[in-house]
Amino acid sequence: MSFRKKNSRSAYLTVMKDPDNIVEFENVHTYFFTDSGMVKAMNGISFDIPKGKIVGIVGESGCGKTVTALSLFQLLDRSEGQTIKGQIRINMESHAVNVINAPAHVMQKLRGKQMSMIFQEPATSLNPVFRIGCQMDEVIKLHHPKMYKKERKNRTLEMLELVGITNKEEVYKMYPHELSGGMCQRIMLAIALVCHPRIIVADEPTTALDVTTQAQILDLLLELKNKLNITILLITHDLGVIAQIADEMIVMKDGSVVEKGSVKEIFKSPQHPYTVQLMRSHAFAEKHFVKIGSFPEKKDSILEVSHLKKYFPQRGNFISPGKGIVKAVDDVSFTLKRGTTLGLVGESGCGKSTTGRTILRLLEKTDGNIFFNGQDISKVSAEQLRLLRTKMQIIFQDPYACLSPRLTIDEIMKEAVREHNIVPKIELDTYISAMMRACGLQESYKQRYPHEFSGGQRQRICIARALALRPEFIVCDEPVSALDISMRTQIINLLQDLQEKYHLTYLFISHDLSVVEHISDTVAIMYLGSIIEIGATEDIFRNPLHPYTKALFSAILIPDPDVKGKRIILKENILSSSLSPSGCKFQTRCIKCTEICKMKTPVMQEIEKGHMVCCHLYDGK
Amino acid sequence: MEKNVLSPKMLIRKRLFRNKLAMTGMFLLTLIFLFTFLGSILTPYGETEVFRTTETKEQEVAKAECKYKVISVNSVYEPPSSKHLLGTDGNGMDILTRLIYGGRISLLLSISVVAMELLIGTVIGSIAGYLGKWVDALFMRFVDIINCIPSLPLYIILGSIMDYYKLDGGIRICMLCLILGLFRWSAVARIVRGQILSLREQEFIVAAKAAGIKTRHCIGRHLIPNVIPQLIIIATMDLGNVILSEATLSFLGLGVKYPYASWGNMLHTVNNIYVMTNYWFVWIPAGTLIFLTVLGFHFVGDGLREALDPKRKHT
Repeated sequence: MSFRKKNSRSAYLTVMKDPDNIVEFENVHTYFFTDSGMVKAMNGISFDIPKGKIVGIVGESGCGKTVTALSLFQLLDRSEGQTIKGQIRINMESHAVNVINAPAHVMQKLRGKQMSMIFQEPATSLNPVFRIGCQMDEVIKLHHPKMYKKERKNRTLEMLELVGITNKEEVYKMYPHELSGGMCQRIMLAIALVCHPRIIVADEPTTALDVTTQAQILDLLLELKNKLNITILLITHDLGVIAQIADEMIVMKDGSVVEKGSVKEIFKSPQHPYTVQLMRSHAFAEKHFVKIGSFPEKKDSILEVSHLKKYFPQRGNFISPGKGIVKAVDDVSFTLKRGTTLGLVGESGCGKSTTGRTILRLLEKTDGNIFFNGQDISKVSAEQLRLLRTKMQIIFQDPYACLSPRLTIDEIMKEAVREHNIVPKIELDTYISAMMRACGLQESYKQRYPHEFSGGQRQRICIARALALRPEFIVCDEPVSALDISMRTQIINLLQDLQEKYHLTYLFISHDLSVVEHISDTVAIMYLGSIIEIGATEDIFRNPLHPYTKALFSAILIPDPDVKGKRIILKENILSSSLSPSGCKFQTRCIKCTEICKMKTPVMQEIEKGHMVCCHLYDGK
Repeated sequence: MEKNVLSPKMLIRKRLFRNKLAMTGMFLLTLIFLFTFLGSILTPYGETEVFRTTETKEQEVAKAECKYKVISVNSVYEPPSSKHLLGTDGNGMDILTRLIYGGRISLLLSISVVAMELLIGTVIGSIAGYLGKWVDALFMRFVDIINCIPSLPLYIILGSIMDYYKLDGGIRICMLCLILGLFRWSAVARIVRGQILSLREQEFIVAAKAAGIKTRHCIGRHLIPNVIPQLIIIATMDLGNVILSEATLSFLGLGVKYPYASWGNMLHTVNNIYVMTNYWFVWIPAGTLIFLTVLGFHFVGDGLREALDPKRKHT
């Protein structure tokens, strides 16, 4: 017994190559064994994570970034994925542990105490039925069983303060659903920090967040690194995030490291062709270019929205009646010319998706008018609306969720076409094939199911499906937000090509200004249900007026470590649309807030030709 | 790269036939169906034929001489022999023969009841779940009402009504089928509704609506296929339950009446402790057959569920 114990001890104890490193990966191979054969998720990966540095891993989805993190924690499902070869050493000062050989009880002590992890979806990483304080307390209790309750609470509050939560006593007693995504991510960070780990692994910590919140969290990570000298392994697909906060970076592709080095050097002179390609697709997202033939001859308007309102009642029950209403869309008006694109930008929860869906009457409006081709679509009957649907289509953010999982692509594509008798039955097959080809899909995909495709291909399928109905107007509801950067460029190019070919009109909804720029002719910025600035894309990008628009611009991450733009960090997150105070809606977060902003609601005023803003700062100009 | 692409239907069939467990189940079910539906050709006896004890020589002589009146006795609980392969039951009837005839009723009954409950349950559940609001409230309260009816007293009353009208065996079985089907669908409706409530919120339904797909196609083509795994599980579990509850109802006088046989009926002899402990051949065969049938349906159902799941790998 004692012999065996000794033997297993020596198997996982090891020596660091360089004592200044916190973690060393050496020739790590992690394979997945699936029904369709072996997948080499990590194929001989070696890199070091030096103490007190932020190391970023960048790559497209499926390149093995997350598996790298899971291998370090040994959190892979043993029956599916296993680290076959190599060493992952973690520095414990007096000794080092090779986590690959470490037995389960050793790993349990390492996780949480020596290394901790934060995930992409903060809201789902927290347990919804426990209070925040309780969840943090649990972690301390596990690793410091002898600590007193009061001591634990102090430690928890201290951590909450550290991650920038000012009302820590309140938050201590809250449930996760009462907090916004950004706050949840802060809590996750606090939980990760609570046992003073040697390393924090952040797996896409800001991908699910708004641009403005992303800026906040990244700032927080940087601040923590400087203050606590903490080591962070940052996993992301966004070069902008890496450029802004990481010290060293690793570029991964298909389970291998293609390039590693300091962020500055790699951005200055990328060596590997793949890195160059990645940088270029990012550069596209940054390059300012004017659309050919912008502001052309007079066009008729296809869609007119005036004073559109959509309120959601907060339902109560027998005992307590409803607490009022949420004004998701509050007096939105705009006109859309045929063949042009309007970009609708705002944080999540600002009502941009609701606007899109209310226009299509997927949600019933509360008030206002929607004229489509001169017809008030809020008044047509259900059957007429069903026929009208071919003319107005929608593309969703998550292409996987909007394809029926149990239907083949062929069935999905044909269904609506058949329902509306777009083409005669005999031509159906050739018509579908033509549509698929137009969207860059092969005909042989027809017999496959949605889950067999990549994100980009799925979005192409969704576009092809929408296009097959011969629409005139398409609402694109964040069509590229869920995609990799390189895919984004392709999909946006496709949308632009199709617009030209079929003379389509788009309402392009996004939370990211940089995406909207290329495709839009006009841009509208939305905040808490209202449009606060609208104008030609050029004008908005050249001269943003509203303080909120300016903040949005500053939140764009520039993939260049030398250009660390002065970020305007918005103080608070939006609480809820239902709690909007009197006066300007943005007053609580505005850095230029004056007395009048608190008293009077600003109205739209034209500053330049076609460029309107809703802010008191420009009163009388 | 371009392999010959299998159509989805061919793929399902291929996956099902490759599944060893499902094939075992299929084999079992085939055997059982053959046994019950073709077995009557092989057995020389009738379903309700009663056998008498063989008379001893003395008795024969006495009978011939008319010395005294000989009362022939039913050959009750006779152990398996070459004459009665599985022996005779408490009424002196051949157990093997009764298994064959009883199986027909049990299988037909369970399959038709399950089919009925799935049909009603799915239709009501999916309409309630998809349309929501007051339709949902109305349908679900209706389900609650159905659930509130105390079933056993109701069955007894219905049984005695049928007795009053002196309905014959065939009609009684049809009625039993109807009654069971009409009172069992509520569980299915609840499960289907719950599933559809969550599926309805998914974006592919919004996408279908946005494409102007008719409501009935939305339910039929997009929602129901996603509930199939749950339906298969309910169906396979309920097949066994129905066979057994038929026995309960028969016992209460609603179901299959003596002299007709059913597996559940035959299994019910175990409520006599003496029979259970002393005459194993009376109830073990019926129990085994019910067990094998349920097992077979489970295997096939499981295989079907896996084969229908598009996310399974091709190989």
